Formats: sequence, structure tokens, C-alpha cells
Amino acid sequence: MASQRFHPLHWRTRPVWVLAVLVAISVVALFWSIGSGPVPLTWGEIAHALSGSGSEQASALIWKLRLPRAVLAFVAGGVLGLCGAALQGLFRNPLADPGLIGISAGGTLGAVTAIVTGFPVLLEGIPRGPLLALPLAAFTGALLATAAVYRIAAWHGRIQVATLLLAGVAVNAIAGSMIGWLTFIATDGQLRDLTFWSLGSVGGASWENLAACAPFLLGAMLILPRHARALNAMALGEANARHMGVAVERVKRAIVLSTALAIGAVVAFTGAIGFVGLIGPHLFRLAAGPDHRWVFPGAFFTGGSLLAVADVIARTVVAPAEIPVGIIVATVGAPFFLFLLLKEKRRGAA
Amino acid sequence: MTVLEARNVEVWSGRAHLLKGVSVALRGAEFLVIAGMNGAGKSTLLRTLAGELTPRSGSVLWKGAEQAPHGFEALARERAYLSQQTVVTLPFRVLQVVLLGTEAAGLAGEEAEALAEHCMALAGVSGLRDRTIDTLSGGEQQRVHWARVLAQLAGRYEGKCLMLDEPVSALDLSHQHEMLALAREVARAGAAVVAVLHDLNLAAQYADRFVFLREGAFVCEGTPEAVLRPEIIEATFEARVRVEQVPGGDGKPRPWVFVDDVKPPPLFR
Repeated sequence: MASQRFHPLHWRTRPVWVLAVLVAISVVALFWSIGSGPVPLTWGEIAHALSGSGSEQASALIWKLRLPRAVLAFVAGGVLGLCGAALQGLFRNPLADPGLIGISAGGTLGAVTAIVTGFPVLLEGIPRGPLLALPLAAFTGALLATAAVYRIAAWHGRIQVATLLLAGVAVNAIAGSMIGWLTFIATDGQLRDLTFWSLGSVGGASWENLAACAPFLLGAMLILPRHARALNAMALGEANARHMGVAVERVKRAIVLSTALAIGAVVAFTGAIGFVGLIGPHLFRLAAGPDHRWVFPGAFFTGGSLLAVADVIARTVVAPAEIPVGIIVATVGAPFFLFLLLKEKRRGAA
Repeated sequence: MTVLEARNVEVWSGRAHLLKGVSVALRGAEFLVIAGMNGAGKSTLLRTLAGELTPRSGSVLWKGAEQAPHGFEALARERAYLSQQTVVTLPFRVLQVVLLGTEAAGLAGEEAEALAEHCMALAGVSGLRDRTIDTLSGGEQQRVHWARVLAQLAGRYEGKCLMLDEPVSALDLSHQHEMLALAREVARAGAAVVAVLHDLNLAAQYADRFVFLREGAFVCEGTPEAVLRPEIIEATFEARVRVEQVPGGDGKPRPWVFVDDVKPPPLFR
């Protein structure tokens, strides 16, 4: 049967084609992102600079500014999509995303606390201390939130999914109230930093930042897809998955922890960018079906292209000013998501 | 040969005492039916045997040894479990669901595809292979999962175990019989088959042995002829019945349980 040839649109071959199209879109999005800005670059110039044969000026611009930013936007979006896919599979809930179980809120609280308490100033003695203070605080916040939610939901070594979701709601509410208090006591200058940060931006991209979050992002990219088969089985319920040979508790632990580390790292350098984790996997599943072996790479490329393109819009629409990319994602993403939901509902399959 | 055995298991859920020292042995090449009233502990017993629930005391032995808590993958190659109802949260195609069974059996590629096709034919769902599972009726979905569970046994039944928790509740008359007849064939091929069933007459047609439970306790066990007696059924189900011998398809007499009209409590106060 495997040797049988299928029509390209048959459900068995569709994921291959969709993924191929997505990879092509990703390349275009990356080139578009690198080429856009106050000094527009043609694709030829970009290709020359990347191969090391371009003009010195273009090369410097690309290697120092454009490329790290494009890569951060793409990889952060991709990892958000990847983690969204994993959490949706784990919770058997299409609404799950990193924001839902409080990971992003914890990170945001960490960063806001750092801004308002002037934590970066305290690190002035340490090389690059002030620069890394915010990410460090956000990362710590994300980890603490995950640890709290995880501890609450774990009972005799098993993670209760319903409790985990409720704990996420509680952590979100607590973090929200604390952010509210901190906002209230913040000075005007801090408030500006704070707003910008909580709306999300990839403007702070540098190779150093990328190197700092790379281990966590790579970890998620390597670990999550290994659990694709387990997540497919878990769509039939945890008990059935266990009967089908899945070590459910081990899978849950691996997914929650690698997701928390990756999202903590993303939130630390880009702020809280919502919607990509929700919409990336959904778009791919609609086009290519729910098999996690395809959804993982698919959600990565979908999320990556989405955020890369959103970032281009964010920095070109009102240039030389820059809109926080989170606003662009939400403005375009939310109505589009609604449109998809309604379309699904009309099909009677929502 | 005893494949799976519960010895004196006590299962609690909070303060509810669900199983009170129940012992039962599943033997290869035998179709065992667990029956009893609602809340008698039938599904609890099956889930305890499957390792889903941990008894407070007593033990569950797989081929004479305590079950390894993390040996899921190895166990899945030797036994399969069909629940009363399985909700699939993602719109998988029927073939994809059945292939999950072959994956659990450790198969891949052409071999897995061929096995999946064979099991879909056995369960009568070959015509549904490209449909998404959420577009099927409850009974059709159940037969898809039946195909998946058969696929997990990978066509080799000797020494394996098949567990069915009220498998036919959603099925029509002919599919109920087709499923149980096939389950009996699986037992004939060497597997230990255990099912929780409500319809005693249906069960008696296919079962080799019954185990009756009441309020979490063992009542009795034996062949259909031995346990389908008015006094035993009354003690187990609180139902007044007549049992008559009716000729079966093979011409031999078979016990048949009749329940005469039940006088309901007054509908209006």
C-alpha cells in the first residue's frame, strides 16, 4: 500500500506538499525580513553578503543588524508554534498555548519586576550585566511559574491535566494582579519600557542574545518532535495511550519542562508575544491534518514565517518608528483565527 | 495457562470501597465475561487488571510476575484494551487510528499497512478508511477502535490478552454478534479474552466462563450453564428471572434468561 501513488491532495501526501510550500514561504519571509528596512536590500545583495562576497557596507548591515533580527523573529515564532502544538496535543485542547498555563505570564512578571525595581542597575558591575538582567528575570519568572503550576498539578507522580489548566488560570491571574501593582508604582520612564516589553518585540536581537537562548530553543526543537507518536496516541485519552504502550507521565514531564525552558527563553528576549503558539499549529492542521509527526515541523515553519513577516510589518509600516510586533500579530492573528473558527463551524467539524 | 491474574485485590477511591478482595484469573484460550449490576465493580476490576488502577492491597500478576510500572511499551505488544467509548480529540482518518494500533505492536511500513487493512476488514470498516473519525456514528467509531485493538495484537494471539470494557454498548444487533464472535475466535487462537458485558443472553452465547460481582465482591464463577440459574441471578442482579433451555444454532439447548414484566414504582406522587 505504501508504494501506491496518491494524488497530491490526498490526505496521505498532503502534509509533504504543505510542508514543502511552508519551507519555501519561510525562505521568502527570511529574505524579505533581511531586505526590508531604512536601507532596502535586493535579494541579490543579500545572497552576495551571505556568501561573503558582497559590499562591506551591506555585509555589515546584514550580519550585524538584519540577520540576527530575522533569525530571532523566525526562530522565536517557530518555537512558539512548536510549543503550542505540543501543549495542544498534551492537553487534548485546541485552545492550549504557552500563555494558557501561565508560562508567559510568569516571564512577563519577572521582567516587569526587574524594570520597576531597577534590577538592571544593580548588575552594572558585571560585564553585560544590565543588558542580560531583563532576560534573566523573565526566564526566572517563567521557570518559577512553571514549577508552581507543575507542583500544584502533580499528585502522586501523575499530572492532572484539568488541575494544570486551572493552576495556569490562577497563575495568570496572580501574575496579572502583581503586574498591575507594579505598573501602578512605576515611574513614567519605567512605564514606557514596561509597555513596550509586555507587547513584545524582536528589536533587541543580537548574536549574543541568540546564543544565550539557543540551548533552550534547540532543546525544545530536538525533544518535542520525539514525542509525536505518543501525542498521536494521547489524542485517544491518557488511559488508551498507556494501553498502547506510551509512558504517559514521562511524556508529560518532558513536554512541560522543555516547553517551559524554551518559552522562558523566548519571552526573555522578545517579551510576551501571544497568538503565534495558538495559530501556528491550527493553520497547519487545517491544511495538512493532525498527525503530530507532520504538525511539529509544520507548526515550526508556520509560526516562524508568521512572526518574521509580522516583524517586517512592525518596523516598516510607520518607519522610522516601530510598532511592537505583538500588536501586529494580535491585530492580524485574532480576526484571522475567528474567521477560521467560523469556517470550521460552518463545515460542522468545529 | 494463566495470563493475567488478580489476587485478593482491594481497590479504594477515596472512601469508596470499590473492590473487596476479588480474585480472578484470565487463562489463555478462554473467553471470560465479567457481569454484575451497575456499580458492582466490573470496570474497576478490568481497569485494575489492566494496571490502570493500583490496588491498596492484593496483587495483579502478568504471567506470574508483578507488572513492571514502566513496562508499558513491552506490555502493549502483548495485550490490548478496548474501552466502552473512545473520544478522539483530533480529526484523524480511520486508517490513521488503526495504524496507531500497529505502531503500538511495534510494526511499521508495508507490514503495518497490510495488517491495518486486514483488521479494518475484520471489523467491517474498510469502507471508512479515508473518513475522519469525528464524522462517524458512535457505533462506527467503536468498530474503528475494535480494528485498532485487533491491529495491536498483530495477528499473533497465543499468550496474549484482549480486554473489552462493555465493547458492544454502541453497536447494532448484527455488529454486537460479529464483534463477540470475533473475540471468541481470538480466544480460540490462544489469547485470554475478558469482557465486561451486560446482556447475559448475548454473553452466554460466546463466553466460556462467567464471573459475577456484586457491590465490589466476588459472587461466583462458572460456565454459562452453571451460573445462569434463577437463584444466582437474583442474588447478583436483584432481578426475578426465569431461565429456560432453548435450542441454539447448533441444536444443543442453551440457557436463556427471561425477565417478566417489571412492575414499576408509581410514576406520580
